[in-house]
Amino acid sequence: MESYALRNRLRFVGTGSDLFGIYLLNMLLSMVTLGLYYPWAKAAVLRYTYANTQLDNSPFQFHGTGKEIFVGFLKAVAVIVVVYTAAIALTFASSLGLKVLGFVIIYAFVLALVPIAVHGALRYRMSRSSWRGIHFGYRGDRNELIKMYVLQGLLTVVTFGIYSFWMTQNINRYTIGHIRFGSARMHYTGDGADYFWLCLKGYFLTILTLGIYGFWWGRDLFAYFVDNLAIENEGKTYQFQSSLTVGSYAGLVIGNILLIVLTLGLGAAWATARTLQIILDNTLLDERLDTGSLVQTELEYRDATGEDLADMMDIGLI
Amino acid sequence: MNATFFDGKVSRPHPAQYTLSAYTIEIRYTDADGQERVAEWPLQEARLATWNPSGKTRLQFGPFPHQYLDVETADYEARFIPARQLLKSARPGLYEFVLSKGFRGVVLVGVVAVAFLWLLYAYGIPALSLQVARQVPAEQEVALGDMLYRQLENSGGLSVDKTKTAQVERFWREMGVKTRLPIRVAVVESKEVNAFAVPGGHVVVFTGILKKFNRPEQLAALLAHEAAHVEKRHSLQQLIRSIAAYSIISVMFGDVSGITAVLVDNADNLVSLSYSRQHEAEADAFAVEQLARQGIDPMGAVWLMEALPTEGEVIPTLLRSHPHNAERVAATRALAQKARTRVIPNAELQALWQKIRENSVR
Repeated sequence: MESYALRNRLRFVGTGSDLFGIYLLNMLLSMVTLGLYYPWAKAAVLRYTYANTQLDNSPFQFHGTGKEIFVGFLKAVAVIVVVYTAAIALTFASSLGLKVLGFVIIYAFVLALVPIAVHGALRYRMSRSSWRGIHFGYRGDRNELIKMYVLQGLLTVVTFGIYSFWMTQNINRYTIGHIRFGSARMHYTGDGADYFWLCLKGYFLTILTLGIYGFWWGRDLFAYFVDNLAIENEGKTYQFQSSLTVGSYAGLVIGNILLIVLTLGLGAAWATARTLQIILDNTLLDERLDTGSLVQTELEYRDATGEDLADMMDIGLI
Repeated sequence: MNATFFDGKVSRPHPAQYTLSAYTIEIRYTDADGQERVAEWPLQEARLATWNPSGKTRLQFGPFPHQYLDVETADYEARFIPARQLLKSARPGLYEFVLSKGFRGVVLVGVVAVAFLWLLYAYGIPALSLQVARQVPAEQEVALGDMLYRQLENSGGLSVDKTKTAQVERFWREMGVKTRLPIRVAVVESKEVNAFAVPGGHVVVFTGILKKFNRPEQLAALLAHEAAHVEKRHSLQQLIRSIAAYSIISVMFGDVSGITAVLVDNADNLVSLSYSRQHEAEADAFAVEQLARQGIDPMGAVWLMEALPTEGEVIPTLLRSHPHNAERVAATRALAQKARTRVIPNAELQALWQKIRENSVR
């Protein structure tokens, strides 16, 4: 096997105080506009974090605009309003059978919304992200994702949640595997069984050690994700690897808690900046990947509905 | 001048030379195959990218896929002065402006935010909640109140005493006060010295407060006072107000999903709803007026306040929101004296009071 080194090629150069200024301005404008400013606020934060995240000393760029996200926001609000109206109307329904049937339908609809939101959010976010002018893209199939969520969701229910470990890894494999970075493509090789044992071990050891093992567990979870991440370019695969130590992970978690608690939440901006710095500083990438050889392949895509639907349903995405 | 050009086709940086003329910028670079190439863009189709890589100013050209030119910021500042007027978003945006002011910018935004928040809280939300409360039809108000009341009951917060409830309910009906919505009284077993009104007509009285009374007029005044909060839609307004405040907080912290959960956990807040000074004064005045109209001594409203502890013990909700108790008692006394009521003895009311009293002392 060819020998190669892993290098730290990603970094975050933004500062907590800049982020604080952005958060504060967002807060003010959100209040003045009774929350309607939210999409612009979100775009500003993304623009800043992307512009201050660098790969091989070149920044990423977020191209989404508040206006695009606002249109998505309106569509997402319409969906949520319909769901809530239906649910409220049903509480006044007279027959019990109708009530049960209605709620089952609403429940199924909301469940199907999750993959739709994830799919939409990925399509939008990826297409509006670029690096040195080369755009990202998401090429997953929506129906395929819905099928995965429904079938594996049912399996998760039947197995009392145990299958969820396999489900998350399968979905990661599918979604990440369909991300394009110009002519390069992303890969994720995480596997349900490994992930399950990692969590089982972490859970019991954390309890046995009264929480202390939690830092090792957290470090391992991060490493599990990053070590299973790879990028394929011109037929060759290049590996990512975590260099996060228990010490720096513990420092990050404890520091962030102190930063947020001692400042009554005002320190959240600094906590975010630290987190990004430490995560990216500890993500190594195969030095052989030639980032100069990426070719533009993706088409433009502007529908931002998924972006906000995902937010409203509390689905964390990057 | 030297710069770095990205052609929008490949990620390879191309060392480039650029020349500015009045309306265009000409970029010469060598492409991946070693060919000399020229790109010419009208300045009107160029944009300034925000938050540039350090020391560089990034220009973006054309529609998707964009081309980029990274020029030295020092060069940009020296050479692009006339060109700037043609570049889109050449003026710094609001974010860039605030961040460029550093600490002062942040403090300025903070001060404006706090001032706005205060205005909204002190004037905006109360005015809005009054308007909204007036628009809610009676049936909706009752339906909402019933839902909240049931939620309170189910959460195990209230253990209703059926006998006492029936007695106090009869006492209220015997008082003969007419209200917009029927008042439904519930007496709850609790040491707490408290009583509160739920929108739509539920009035909840804790046994702790009943023990403090030694005259029927005090109970009459309490019921009338709580009924006033329903009658004048205070509790509805207060509910709307807390929902509005919660929504604003959610918005402030960008927690959109939180807004949707507002109504769910609002029932518990009913117990500790605190009214504004104005609402309390209105309720006191209503109590005095109604007692006087029914031939009950309106001094009951004053005796009610005097019977409630204001120091040492926990201040009951009835008085909590009002920091100037002495002032409030004096105002109520003045109202009661002005009412100059001819007190009509009511044997039925007296008998009911005896029963309630025997029951609550026991």
